[in-house]
Amino acid sequence: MRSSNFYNPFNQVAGFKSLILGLIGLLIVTYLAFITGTHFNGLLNIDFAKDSDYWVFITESFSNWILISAFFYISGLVLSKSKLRVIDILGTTLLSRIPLIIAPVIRIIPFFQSFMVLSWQMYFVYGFYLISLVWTIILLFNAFKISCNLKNERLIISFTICVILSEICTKLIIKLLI
Amino acid sequence: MRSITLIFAACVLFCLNSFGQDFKKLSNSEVDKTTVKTAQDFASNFMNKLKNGKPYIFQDEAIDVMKNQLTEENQKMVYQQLKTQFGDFVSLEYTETWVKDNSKSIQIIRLKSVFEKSNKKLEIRVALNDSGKIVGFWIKPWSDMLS
Repeated sequence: MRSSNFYNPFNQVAGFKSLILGLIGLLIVTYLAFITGTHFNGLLNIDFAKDSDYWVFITESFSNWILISAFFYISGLVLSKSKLRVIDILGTTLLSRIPLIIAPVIRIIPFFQSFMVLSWQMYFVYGFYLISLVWTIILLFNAFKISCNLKNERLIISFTICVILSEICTKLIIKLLI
Repeated sequence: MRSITLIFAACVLFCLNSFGQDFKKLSNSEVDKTTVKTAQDFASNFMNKLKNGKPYIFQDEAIDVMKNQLTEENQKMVYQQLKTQFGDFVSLEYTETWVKDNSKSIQIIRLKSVFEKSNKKLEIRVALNDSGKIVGFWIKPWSDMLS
């Protein structure tokens, strides 16, 4: 396996295959998030609380994914000269979220299920979450770049705007629905 | 490479030691069931009284500071705020106990509570001193991180 596959697997995995793999990944991440009480309540946010039913975690995961995909698609329509495939955007975006599994997996360990603010457990989980978040953003960037075929300033600026907008909208939608 | 690993390990150990914890979560076998029942009964009676529009009358289950702070007006005001935001109180269940400095001088009983309009459970936290009297009472959104 080439090391570039860790940050850009989309030259090999795209379309329907990425959608199926991504959906399986999303369901596993969501289930682990539910049993460990790890909320992804925003594109870039994490919160620890075993306080809600499964549908809340499903809503959080799906709204994150659908919104960032929608913003990528709109940006692609406006800025790209290539023909866009919705399935590519949905699939690659979904696949990009798999690294987020790291924090829920750590929280399966009893030590990390309930802990004090500013404890070493908190820094440990946040540290690994940060790593998984950077990894996710790199994957999202490459997903956007490949599925919308954008380059240079257009790519960087539109990606930044998409991330900011989807973060705001995800927060709003989660607040409205939950 | 070896020295980098050693430095990294030293940093990790230093970090682990630096974040000293004042509170420790008790395992189920360490939990004092009587204390939990005291906290659970108090919280349940308190919330149900207010739900039924009556104030909670303190006996000798809490310290004087608590009794003076939770006056009838304050109780009404607190419940009204909760009702507006989360709906009526429905139920509560025991979740976990934390102790300060391993000594059980202060025990924190954390209860998860359900409110009618809220999709998320709220925390009802009751703190008891070593003579079993209530020294603290909070209602806040549940978090797995104790603050």
